[in-house]
Amino acid sequence: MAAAASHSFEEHRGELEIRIDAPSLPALFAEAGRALAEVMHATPLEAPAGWSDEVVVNARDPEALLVEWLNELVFRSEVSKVLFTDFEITHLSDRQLVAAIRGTSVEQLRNPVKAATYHGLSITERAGRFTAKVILDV
Amino acid sequence: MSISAPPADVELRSVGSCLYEIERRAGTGMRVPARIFADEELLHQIRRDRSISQLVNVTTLPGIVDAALGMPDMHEGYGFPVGGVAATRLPDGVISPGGIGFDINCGVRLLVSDLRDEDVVPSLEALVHEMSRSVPAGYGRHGRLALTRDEMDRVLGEGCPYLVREHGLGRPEDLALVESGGVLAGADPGQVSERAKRRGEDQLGTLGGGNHFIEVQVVDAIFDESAARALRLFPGQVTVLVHTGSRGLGHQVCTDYVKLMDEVLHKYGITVPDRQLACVPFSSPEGRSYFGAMCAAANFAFCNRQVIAHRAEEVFLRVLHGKPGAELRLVYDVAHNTAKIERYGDRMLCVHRKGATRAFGPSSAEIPAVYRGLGQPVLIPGSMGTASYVLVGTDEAGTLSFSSTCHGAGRAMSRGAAKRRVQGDVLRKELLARGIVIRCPSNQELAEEAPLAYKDVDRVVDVVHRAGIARKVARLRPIGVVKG
Repeated sequence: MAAAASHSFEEHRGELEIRIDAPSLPALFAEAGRALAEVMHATPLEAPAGWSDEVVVNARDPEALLVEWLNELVFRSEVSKVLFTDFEITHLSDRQLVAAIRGTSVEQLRNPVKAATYHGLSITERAGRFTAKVILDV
Repeated sequence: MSISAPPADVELRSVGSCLYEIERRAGTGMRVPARIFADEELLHQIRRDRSISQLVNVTTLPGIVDAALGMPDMHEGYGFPVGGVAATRLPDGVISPGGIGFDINCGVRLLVSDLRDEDVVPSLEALVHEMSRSVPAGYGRHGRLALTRDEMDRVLGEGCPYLVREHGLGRPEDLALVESGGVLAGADPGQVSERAKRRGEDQLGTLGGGNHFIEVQVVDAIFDESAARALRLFPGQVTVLVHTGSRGLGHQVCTDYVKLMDEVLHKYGITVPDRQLACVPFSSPEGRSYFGAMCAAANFAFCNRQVIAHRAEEVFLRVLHGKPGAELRLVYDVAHNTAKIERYGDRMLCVHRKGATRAFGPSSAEIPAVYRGLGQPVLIPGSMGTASYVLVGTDEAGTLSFSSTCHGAGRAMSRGAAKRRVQGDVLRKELLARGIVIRCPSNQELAEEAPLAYKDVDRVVDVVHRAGIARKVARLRPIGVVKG
C-alpha cells in the first residue's frame, strides 16, 4: 500500500516553503490545502463543520494550478473567516481542478498568508509518487 | 531562458563608496550589471541567502537599463529580492508585479507632536493600550471604516484627497506631505478585481500582521540640525511612526496579475528565469491594466495610513486630555513597494522599488514645496524595539540609484529561526525593562520580529549615507509599540 500524503516546511528569510509528498496528484493537491491550513492556524481544529463549498480553479499548467488552488483558499479564508481543512478533489486535469471543501468558521486567522508564489515552484513524479514545492509569502 | 545562478563567492568588484558590482557576463542572459550598496559586513550577510542570485535574475528583464540595484538591507524574497530596484525604459520596457511585491505601497508615515518624552511617559501605558484598541492589528480583522463599493472605488481612484474632503479624515495641508499627494494619477479602480475589493472592504484603518506596527518614539539623536529644524524635529520630541500597506486588497491585485502575466508573457516573446518575475511590456494592454490596478492599490495604502494616523491623533488628544502640543502633525508619508514613472535625463523609466524607498534630492520639482532645497524625507523603520531613522534624499541618488535608498533593517533570520532563538515572554520583559511598552497579539509573533532577526539598522543607514544615496538627519528611539 502506498504511503499516505505528507507535508513539511522549509523556512526562507521572509517566506515559507511547503514541501508535499503524495501517492497521486489529487492527494497532493488535498495535502497542499491541509499544509496551508496548518500554516494559517497552527493548532488542531475541531472536525470541519458549518461551511462547505465547491471550488473550480483554472490555470495554464499543473504547477500554476497548485499556486492558484492555494490562492483560492487564501482568498476564501480571508473574506469568509473560514479555515478549510477537508478537501475532496472531484476533478483534476492539467489545467482545471474541481474540489469540495469544508471548513470551520474562525474569529481570526492566526498566521497571515498573503499569497502562494510561482518562485521555486515545482511538481515532480518519481516511481509513482508526486512531490511539490511551493513558496508562500507570509 | 536559462541563467546560471552566481555561486555564493561570486566576484563583487568595488566600484564606488559602499558600492559593489557583478559585471554583465556574456551568455548568461544578463542585460545589465547588478550593483549592491553595502559594506563588507552587510555584504557578508547578504551572501548568506539567495538574494544575489535573485538580483542577477532581475538583470534579465527586457528593457532594464543601467543596472539592477540591491540596497544594503537586501534579503532573499521571491522573484525580486527584497531591497531590489530595477528601472525599465518606456514605452516597451516591462512592468513586473513581482518587482513590486504583494504588499503594494507598504510604507511609512511619520507624525510629530510638540511634546517631550517627559510629557508622555506617565501616560504611555494608556496611550499604547488605546492605540491598540483604535487600530485593529493582526490579519484579516474587521477595520473601523467599512466601505460601500462606491466609497471603495473612490478611495482607489481618488486616494487621500477623497478621505480629507469627504470624510474629514486628516487635514487638507497634509496632502502635500504624502508621496505623490496621496493619490497616484494612473489609478484605475476598474482594473482592480472584485476579489481584491472584497478582501479590502473591511480593512481600511487596520495594521495587518507581520512586521507592521505603530510606534511611539522619541527623537534621540540629531545628525543635521538645519535639516532637522526644517522637518520640525527637535531632541526629546515625541513622534509616531505608522508602518503598514494595502492589506489583502494589494495582495490580491498582485496575485491576479502575476497569474495573468504568467499566462500571456510568451505572446510578447518574453521568457524569464523565475516565473515570479512574469512581466509584459508596460505599453501592452496587460501592462497598462496592471499599472492602473497597482496605482489604485497604492492609493488604498496611502488611505490606510491616513485613517490610522487620524486615529492615533484622536488617541493622543483623548488620553492626554487635549494637552497643548498633543496634536500630531505629518512630516511625510513614503512608499516602499511601488512602480513609478519617472524621468531621468531624456529617458522616461518605470522604476520598480521592492523594499526600497524613493529618495528625490533637494532640486526635484516633485517633492513638497516646503522641502525643496532640503530633499525628500526618507523614513527608515528599524526592527521592533530598535531605532528608526529620518533621512533626506540627495540629487546624487538620481545618478547612483534611480533616486532610491533602503527601506529598513532587512531580515537576517527567518521567522522560525527567530522563534527558536528568542522567547517572546522574555523579550517582552526585556523591552519593558528598557522602557518600551508593547502591545502584541502573542509572544510567538513578538519573537518572530525580535531585533536579532534583522540586520543592524544603524549600519544599513550608515551605508546609504556614506554611499550618498540619502543623508542622515535624525534617529528615533521607540518607547511604545503596537505590533500588527
